[in-house]
Amino acid sequence: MRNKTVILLFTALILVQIAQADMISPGMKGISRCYTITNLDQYPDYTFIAANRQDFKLFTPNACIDGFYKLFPPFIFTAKTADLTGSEITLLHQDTAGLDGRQLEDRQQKLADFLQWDLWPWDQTSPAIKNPKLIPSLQIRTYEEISSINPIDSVEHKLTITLISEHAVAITESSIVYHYTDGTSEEKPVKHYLGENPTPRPATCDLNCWTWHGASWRLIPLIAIILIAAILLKRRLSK
Amino acid sequence: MSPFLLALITTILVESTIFWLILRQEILKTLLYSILINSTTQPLANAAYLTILPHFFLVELIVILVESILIMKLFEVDYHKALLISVTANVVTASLSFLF
Repeated sequence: MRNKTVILLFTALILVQIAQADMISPGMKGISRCYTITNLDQYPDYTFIAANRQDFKLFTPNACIDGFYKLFPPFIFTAKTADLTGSEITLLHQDTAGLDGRQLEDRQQKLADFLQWDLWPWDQTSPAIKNPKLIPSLQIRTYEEISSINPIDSVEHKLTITLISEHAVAITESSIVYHYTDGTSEEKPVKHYLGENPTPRPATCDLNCWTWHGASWRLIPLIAIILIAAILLKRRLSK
Repeated sequence: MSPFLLALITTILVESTIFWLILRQEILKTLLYSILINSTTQPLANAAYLTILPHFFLVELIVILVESILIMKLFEVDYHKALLISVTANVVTASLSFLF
């Protein structure tokens, strides 16, 4: 009976955890990561977009791209602007402000027609599109959950186009700007490729940051365990 | 006040109330045991969650199991009742953590 209860409890909690995908866990907060391409002006003949199966955004010199649904990280696609049709260019430059639900649905359908996503495999790590005009490169994440006491408020990624050829586009991350909740910012050069490294936490806020005293997460349980042991020992000796 | 200290105090108060409502043992003894139980599990659970085990419900499951053993030993009740108390107390406090 006891084993059954524990198994049921364990199963229920695992199932609840699966259903948790869209929630922010207690003690965590969501932060936005946005992306700019710093040398976009050097490639005036090309169009750069970030797109997933649901939405797309056009890279422009002053835009910092963000706001994609967290479970569908977009890819950056590059196309020769001359290869795009008039309606495709219109679609890419369409302002979504003021569009109603039906128009947004229509836009989403046009995006699907343009990108020609493969329906299967449903692999979020692979840009499974069929449109030969579009060259995929980086996958970006525009949302992340971090500890609620982490002082990072948002993150800005600065990308640089390093190579464009007929079939390949190389875009690397040149620096990351961390915006903190106190209004300050710091820019850090990047020595790795995007996606290989999680958001580095500021040195001032590691494990010690979340406690009211640095060592309390060790000290308080230790004292409590000693006291519990003392109570149980005393009880046993008095019997 | 640190949000973690506030969370610990709130958890102790809520769980003490639940322990007392189910067990009807002495209030001061119930409060003391609740302080000891939660002072053991909550800081460690938070540390684990923020570092090595970032899965809220898995951490909660471990907390429920550890607390059920501590409740059984300290309050001298059978394991089934201890598990029921632990589940009740932790479901309530976990729900509160989502609300606030």
